[in-house]
Amino acid sequence: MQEPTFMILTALADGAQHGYGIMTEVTRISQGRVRLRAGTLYAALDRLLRSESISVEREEIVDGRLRRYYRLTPSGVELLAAEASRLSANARMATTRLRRLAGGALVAGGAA
Amino acid sequence: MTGETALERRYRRLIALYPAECRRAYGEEMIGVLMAAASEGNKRPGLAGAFDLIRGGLRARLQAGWRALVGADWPDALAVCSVAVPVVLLGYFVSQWLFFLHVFVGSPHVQAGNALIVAAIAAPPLLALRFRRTAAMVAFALAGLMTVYALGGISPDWGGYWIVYGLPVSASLALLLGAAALAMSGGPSRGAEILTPRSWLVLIGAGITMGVIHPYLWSRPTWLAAVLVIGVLALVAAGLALTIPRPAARGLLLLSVVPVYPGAVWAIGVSGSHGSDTSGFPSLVFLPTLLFAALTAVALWRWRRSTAAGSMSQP
Repeated sequence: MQEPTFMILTALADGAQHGYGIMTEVTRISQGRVRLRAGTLYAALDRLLRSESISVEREEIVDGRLRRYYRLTPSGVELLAAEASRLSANARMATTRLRRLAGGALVAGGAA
Repeated sequence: MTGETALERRYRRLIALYPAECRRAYGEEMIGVLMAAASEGNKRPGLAGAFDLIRGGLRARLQAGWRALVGADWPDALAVCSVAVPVVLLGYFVSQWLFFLHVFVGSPHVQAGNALIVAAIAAPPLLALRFRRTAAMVAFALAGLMTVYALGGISPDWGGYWIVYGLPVSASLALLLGAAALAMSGGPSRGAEILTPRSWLVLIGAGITMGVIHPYLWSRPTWLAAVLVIGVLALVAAGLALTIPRPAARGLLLLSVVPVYPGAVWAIGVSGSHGSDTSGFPSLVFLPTLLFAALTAVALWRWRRSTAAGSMSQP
């Protein structure tokens, strides 16, 4: 799964959001590292709608503009959980190996 | 209703790059998001934002094209081809023949030759009503004969004039398409079920039109002749696409590229910057034709094997 898609699903895990809301939420939860643009956002939303990972909860008109709220579907929740678990396992593995590397370096440093 | 600003107009122009289906689904919503994300006083989209929309629009168009390709009803499109190809070709040859009979009654030898061509084109679809495999083989053999006839034009003796044989190449490809259609679809009986009375009018009208205009094209510039022929074929494809169900029409539009292709190369070759330089024509036209012939032969061979296996497994 690409990072923007993962971040969009994560943003929606807190509740339904509209397009601009998703953009600001993704910037906030990634601490400014991921900034979605409209083209990327709607390409991902279209893909997620087609795969039924998200659905449209409601539509409203605010200041004369259409606002559509998206929410996670049960299969979207499963998808996000699986991806989070995969990333978490990868991160644990990397951390363990880094600790081992640091430990080895310390032992090697001590032996020298 | 909000008044449209210069920035919004520019965003709308960029969003026009998306296919209509996407614009209907997300266009207004995207404008709302883009305007909400824009900084106060901005009159133009930023470079990165514009690039993102251009990339997104082009990608959406590619995906829409791919979905149309995958979503096409290929067996029905081919079934329509198995009827459309012989009907257009028959209309063409018969009307051209009658035209020449009107202005010049040739020798019995020439008349017999013309009658044979008409009979040969009519044979596969008529045969296909009862002997579909034989009909496919006949269409394939006819395509081979037509290609040999066209290849004769490559002889150096013909100089640059052999390009007039672009027409046999198109006819050869159309016959190959007909053979593939017989092997990979329900054949003419299914095609006739799909075609509406209007579709029949389009097919017969197109064939006759091509036959009637063809004698007048000899004295016209070749590029004009090619453009006219491609135009008529494009009208046939569009006319059929408007009169048969959409999934089959999508496949048909894509399949119609096969016989139109040599004409397009011909038109581009003769109207390009090099005048009548068509030295690239053989490789550009005959190689794809040979490839298509090979694919059709494989399809016929597989079909023959599968039908043979089916008839053996029956008690």
